[in-house]
Order: sequence, then C-alpha cells, then structure tokens
Amino acid sequence: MSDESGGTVQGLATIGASRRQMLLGASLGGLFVAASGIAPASARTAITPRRSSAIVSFHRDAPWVDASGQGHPFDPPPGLRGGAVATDLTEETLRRLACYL
Amino acid sequence: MVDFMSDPAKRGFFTPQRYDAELLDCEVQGRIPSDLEGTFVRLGGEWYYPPSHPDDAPLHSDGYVSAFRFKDGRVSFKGRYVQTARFKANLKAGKQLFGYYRNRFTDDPSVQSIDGTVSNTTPLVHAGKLFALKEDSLPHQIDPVTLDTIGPWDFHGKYKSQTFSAHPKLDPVTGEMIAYGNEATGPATKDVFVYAIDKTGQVTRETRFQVPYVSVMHDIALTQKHIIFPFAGYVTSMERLQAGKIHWGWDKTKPSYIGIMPRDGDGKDVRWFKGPERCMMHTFNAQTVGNKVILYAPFYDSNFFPFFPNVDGSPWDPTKARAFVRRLTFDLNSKKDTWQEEILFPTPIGDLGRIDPRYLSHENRYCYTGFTDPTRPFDEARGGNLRGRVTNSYGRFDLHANKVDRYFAGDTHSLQECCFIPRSANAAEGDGYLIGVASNYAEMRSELIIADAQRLGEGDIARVILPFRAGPQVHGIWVRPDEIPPFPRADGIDA
Repeated sequence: MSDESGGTVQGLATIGASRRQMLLGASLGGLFVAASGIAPASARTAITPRRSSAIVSFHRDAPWVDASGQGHPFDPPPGLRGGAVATDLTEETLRRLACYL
Repeated sequence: MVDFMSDPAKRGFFTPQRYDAELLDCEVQGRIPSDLEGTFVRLGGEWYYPPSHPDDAPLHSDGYVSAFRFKDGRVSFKGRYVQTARFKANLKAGKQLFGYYRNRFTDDPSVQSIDGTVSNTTPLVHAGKLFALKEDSLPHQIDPVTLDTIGPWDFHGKYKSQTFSAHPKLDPVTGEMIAYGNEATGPATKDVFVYAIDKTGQVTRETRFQVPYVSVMHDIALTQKHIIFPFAGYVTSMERLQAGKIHWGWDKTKPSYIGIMPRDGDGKDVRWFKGPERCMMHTFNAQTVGNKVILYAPFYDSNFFPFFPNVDGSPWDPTKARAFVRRLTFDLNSKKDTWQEEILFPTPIGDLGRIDPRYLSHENRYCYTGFTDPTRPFDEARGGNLRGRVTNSYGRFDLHANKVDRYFAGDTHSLQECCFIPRSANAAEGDGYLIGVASNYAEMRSELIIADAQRLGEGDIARVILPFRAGPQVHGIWVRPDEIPPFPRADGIDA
C-alpha cells in the first residue's frame, strides 16, 4: 500500500518494535492513509497514528482553534464586532442599509 | 412610539444614533499639524424615526450636520440634526409622517404643505454662509457657530427653481458659484434652471433648458468655458409617483446623456452627447482644451442604488455597480454626438471622489477617492465580518504618472469620503492633508484620520478619537477660518 508521496507504509515500523506491534501499526497506518488520503509525517514514523492536538470550537459565526492541545478555555479577542450584523446580509441588503460604507 | 427594534439590520454600528453631540476637547492620537486651522463640516443622514417603508432609500434619512474644529493642535466636535420643517413635523407627531423618497403622494395628508426635504447631502460655504444641501429643495442655511438650522435660502428671492443641486461648483479664481435645479418646476418635470451667483451671493445670470428625459442629474462639472451636465438611467414620471412608487427607477435601456453648455451661453446652446448605459453620480473635474472638453469622473457601469429598482423588474446586479476613474473626451468640432471614454485605472473605486479644490475647472494631476483594497486584512474576530465589503483605503490617483498611492485605515475600519486640504494657499497641488472619518467596528466609535497627502503609504499622522459614532456622512468640506466664523470652544480653550 502506498501513501500519497508514493512511498510505502512499511515505514510505519520503528526500530525495536515487536512484530505484532509492527503489524498493528501498519494496519492502523494504512487505514489512516486510506481514510484521509494523506500521510502525515508522524504516520510514517509512529507505531500508531498520533491524535491532532488542535481543538476547534465556534463562537458566534467564527471558528476558533486552540492549537496547544491543552483545552484552554475560549478567550475571544477584544472587539465589539460592530459590523457583525452585516455578516448574513446580501450585498443588496447591505447597500440598502448603508450605501456608503 | 419609536421602534427601531423591528429592523434587525439596524444594529451594532448601524444603530441610528439619534442624538446631538458636543465634545469640547477631543482625544488625539499623534499630533495635529500646527498649520491645520479651520473646520471640517460633514453632512449625512440618520433616521430619527424609522422610515414608513422598510425598502425606502437610506438617502431619505434625516440630515445631520457635524463639524470638527481645529485650532492650535486641538480639536472639538459638534453634531446636530438639521431641523427641517419635516424633522419638526415628525417630532411633533412622534412618528414618521413622510412616505417614500421624494414621493409626496405617499406622505401623510397632514404634511402635504410642508417641505419634505431632509437636507442631508452636502455642506456648502459661499458668501459667508453655511448651507446644508439636498437636490430636492432650496439650500438650508446653518448657523456656523451653533449648527442651528436657520432655514431655506432663496438668494434674496432671485433663485426661482424649486430645487437646488447638492453639487454646485465654486470657481476658485472668481468665487462665482454655478448652481442649478433639476426638476426645477416640480417633480418629474424636465426643466433645469442654471444660475451664476457671484462671490457676494448675488444672482447674476439665469438660464433654463429641458433635458431629453427626466433623470437624476446629481452633479455637474465646470471648466473655464463650459458647464457639463451628465445624467443616465434613472427615470421617473408622474404616473410612477401617483402609483405610489419610490421616486426613481432604473431603466437600463435608456442612453446616458451629457450636455455641454458654454458658461456664457444659455439653454439653447446646450449640446447633448449620448452614450451607453452608465450610472453618473459624481464628477472629479473637467477642462476645456481647444475644441475638446475633457471630463474626469468616477462613473459606474450601471445602477449603484438597489433601492431605486430596475423598472423591468429584474434583480439589482451588484457586479455592474462598479465605478472607475474614467476620462471622457468630447470633440466640440465633431458632428458626432458620442464621446470617447477611457478607464484610467483598473481599480474599482468608490464614487465619492475629490480633488484639490483650487484646481477645479483647471488641469489637475490628482484625484482622491476611497476604495476597497482586497489585499488588506479585516479582523472579523474584532470587527465583525465585513471583509471585502468596506472602503478600507484612500487612493491618490496620479493622472500624470498613472500610479496610485494608498492609505490604509486599519483592519477593523471603513472610511467615509475624504477631503483634501492644501497646506497653504500657495502650496503646490497635492501638498497638504487628506482627512476623513473612519468607522472603527471593533471599538464602536468614529475616528477622524489626518494623513500627509504626499505620504499616504506611511499612514496617518494624527487621529481624532471620538468616544461614539459620528453618524453617516455623504459629503464633507474643509472651511478656512476666513470663510465663516468658527464655532467657539469651551471657556479656557482659545477660540
């Protein structure tokens, strides 16, 4: 089975791993590649796929990403978002509201 | 009962502010140039009562005049509603009595005899008087000290048109004002009255003509020898008004027209040129060079205002509502009734364009206007999602070098019309300041930016910070201390 770069998933094996672990890693890695279509570098070297550390949440209409992996509470940037009302307005509706913006 | 809550769009920065305001000594970031003394007067519209019809034009909102007063590096601010007869009638009734934009047939019967203007488009100073202008009525005189409304002004009874343009032109050499009234004898009439008014405010000439079809003639252009009258696309009729529709519709089948009249001529001397569909709202400047008239204007491809709907019922097309810096050349020796048109810069712009006012009717190098620079960021997290939809930059469009110098207001800001201020009476063209009000969507406030007009890329040199929104603006002007008496500031501050 090849990954996206054309290499094989045999690289999932690491030095010192047992045969059972190697087979498990190869299977899981292959499943990961097949499901996502990508082969992150970590998938080539780890015995098992590594979980992404980023956490995505949503606040109002904007996605927020906590990349620390530590589950920090949501902390919105300062700003009163005075233009937020226009988010869902069509160009026509916005122009009817304020033609010089 | 006043109710804006039922309109979900009038929220956040778009909430009608509905108050008069005065700030005696404004906060300033940076340093106001010591040679900047005078008053920046703004005029725009702000609904005091909700419109009778939710699809009415925002251009029908109540006039609001405001002024920033500069002296000795300090700035004060004052803002007042223009107390038109309409404003007072609504206030007395506690509700909106007026119907659709400029359609008296849709007004409450109790206000049929009351002037329905909102006086919300352009401030003007001439012959020592300050006026608020809107093209459906006479100028309203404003007290320059208190910003109180004095009332309509008819130039000592010599101005006969029912209407007065929002864009008369002031000859920088003679001080003469060329003014005109479109639909001069009443709504949907073809009559245009043109006036020359000398620098003391006396009417010296009047001439009259009729247009090929009744349309919006919002602005004109002036050369040393000619007056240029552009209009296109918008249509009205008494039938349309009696049917209860908003004053203007857009007919894309109508040709655009530009009339050219000698300044010392009269109505029979108007020569009409015809062109393709365009939306012609404002002009930059014009010159007469030999037998040619050259007009610079930020015309749109098509209808800019969706609230003036297409008469054929088709939806408004925002992709055609794009304006560019255009040069139109008219050959007065040619028998053809067409013009040559060039788009000088590929950047779509806003059409609230300005020049150094000392160069009006003469050859000029620079045009200034706002535009949306898509390469600049907008911080949606702090300002709300207005990315790509706001005027975030001013441009100085160099007609000689064919380049654009840019000023960026900030990543949570949009900009209203700019205004060029010469550094001194004898300064070279372009040597001065570019100012304008920025809306800060993150802080919910307005900020008056002051930039060196020759160094726009370096950002502003000072910002006047208001702790509130200053209200929408259509047009603004810079007034020197010798033009009108400045309004005094608080005790203890040198006026």
